Amino acid sequence: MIRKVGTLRRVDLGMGGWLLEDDAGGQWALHGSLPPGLDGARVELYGVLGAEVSFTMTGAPSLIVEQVRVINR
Amino acid sequence: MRRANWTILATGGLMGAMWALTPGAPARHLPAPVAAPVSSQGGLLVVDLDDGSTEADLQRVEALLGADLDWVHELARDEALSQGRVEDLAAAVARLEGLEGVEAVEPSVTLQALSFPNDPLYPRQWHLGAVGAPEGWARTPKGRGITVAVIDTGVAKVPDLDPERLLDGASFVPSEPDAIDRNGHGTHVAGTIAQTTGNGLGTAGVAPEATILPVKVLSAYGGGESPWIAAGIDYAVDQGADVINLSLGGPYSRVVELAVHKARAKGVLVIAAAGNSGREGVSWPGALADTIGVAAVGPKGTLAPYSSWGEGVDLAAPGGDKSIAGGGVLQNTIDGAGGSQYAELQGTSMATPHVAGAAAVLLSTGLTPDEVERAMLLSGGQRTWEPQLGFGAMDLGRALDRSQGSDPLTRFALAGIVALLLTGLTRMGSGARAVSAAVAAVVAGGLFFLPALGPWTLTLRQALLLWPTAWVGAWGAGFPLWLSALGPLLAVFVLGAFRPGRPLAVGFAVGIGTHLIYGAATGTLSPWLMPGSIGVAWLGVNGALSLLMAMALMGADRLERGEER
Repeated sequence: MIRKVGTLRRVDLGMGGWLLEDDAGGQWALHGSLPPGLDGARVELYGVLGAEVSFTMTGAPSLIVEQVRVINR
Repeated sequence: MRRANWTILATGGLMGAMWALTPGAPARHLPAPVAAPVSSQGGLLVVDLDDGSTEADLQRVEALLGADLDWVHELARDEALSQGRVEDLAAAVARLEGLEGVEAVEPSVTLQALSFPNDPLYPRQWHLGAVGAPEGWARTPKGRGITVAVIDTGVAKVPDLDPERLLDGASFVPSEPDAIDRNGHGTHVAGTIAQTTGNGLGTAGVAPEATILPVKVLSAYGGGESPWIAAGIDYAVDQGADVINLSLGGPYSRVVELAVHKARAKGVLVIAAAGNSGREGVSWPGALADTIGVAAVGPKGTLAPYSSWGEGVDLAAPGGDKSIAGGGVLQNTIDGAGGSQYAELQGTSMATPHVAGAAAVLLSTGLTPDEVERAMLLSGGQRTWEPQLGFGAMDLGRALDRSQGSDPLTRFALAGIVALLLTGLTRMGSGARAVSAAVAAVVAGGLFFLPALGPWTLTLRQALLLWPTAWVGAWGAGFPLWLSALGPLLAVFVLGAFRPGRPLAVGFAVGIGTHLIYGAATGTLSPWLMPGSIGVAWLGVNGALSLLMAMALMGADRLERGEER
């Protein structure tokens, strides 16, 4: 499992998806259940790398979210 | 008659046959006009005065009517068309009918644009007009009999999707055992393809008579694994899908590539999204050779800001641009609270089903998958590929024009006429020689009509005529040497060296020449890397060379036979 800290961004593609912009400047396409209303929130996130196919197709590597902790909104 | 005259005659016959047989304006059947009944109630009266009538003429009519009239529009003043409200329409018409200076008088009637469906949200679906969906509704069976597999998050039963054309499907997501959509993405995609149209409800779809096969490979949160997708594709093919829509993408997967390849080899058209990175680099499986990769354009017809582009993009289609008010793709889907909504979404996910729906519409006209793919690629209006939009934005109307221009019966008849001209009038020989030349010409020119006989001819066509497609896919039919006089040249030199082979060589050259000239005239053939008039010139010159070689071989044959006598 890997840990990432960064900012959540809602992407308006298809029915919508989530992107994490981590503190190292990387982007991660997030898969899994995330609570609503977190657009712009700073989070600490735990997950596993996935070779997932999705409808958001942002080109960012996939991270399957297992745990998320909101640092601030 | 001299040989040169026969050449002119044959060429003239060819051109005449093309003119006569090319689909043009058919004999029109028009109904007799029936005037609407005129009531004695009040209403708007239209009075068309003689052209050039003056204000004084109008006032004379007003006095007769006892009502005020106004010119309909200053810009149409010279037409002297006036209108005004009267209390008794029937009496007013009776008073003015036949009056000197009055061309016509009648109650105003309300006209409606018949080409638009009555779905109330249709006026907001700019994307359907952009892809040419109304052309499909007007000119085709609208996808009837065609099954489109939506390989996605599943499809929900929403009010604006005909349940009789929605199959049960299957789920390949282990945690979700049925194909019912719990995200909304797949349902929206299915709506673009086959939303019930003309039902007075909500929105319309590109191929409203098509059947939807839901195949769930993405979970409720929108992600899926490559083996689920590969299995879903295999399942769709086994279930008889004609078109597969893949509004999804991710990293390259060999198992997905194999599944797509098997689907395409079985004649299933696979349409896939280019991706939403906003950068160069198409996502997989959209970048595969066996998929038609679709980029997205917004309402202005330019590449949408989020759309991926580059190698792998074959076509563009409306995917929406929500930075413009009303610029999303509007369809019926679920609302996440157990109900349904009409949602504007954007993405290459939304562009892809416009092409899948168009493919269903084209297939329902009886075209083969190869012909549909070709017609769609030609419909973008760009003969050369460019990285942003591929071969351009999908246009269903233009695709129908292209496919109908390749009418197989026309080509067959054309080849037959030319064969008769050349074998009969030029006395190529008699009996078996004439027949064999005619058969060769009809076969060479007419084999191109085989697709109309159904998929069973695929093997024969690939073996005999479409051999480039076996190497480089359907687009290989545009290989320039294939669309040239090279084949006839070889036939003339190889078969023509022996007297029994000459009728066959002549016929073959005539058939190919006919095919090339017909393709140049109708725009149904497009050699690679030859845009516009260059391609037309290539086809025309090679077609003419083929015919000239046939004439030369005939002449040589006649001379030889004459010397022997």
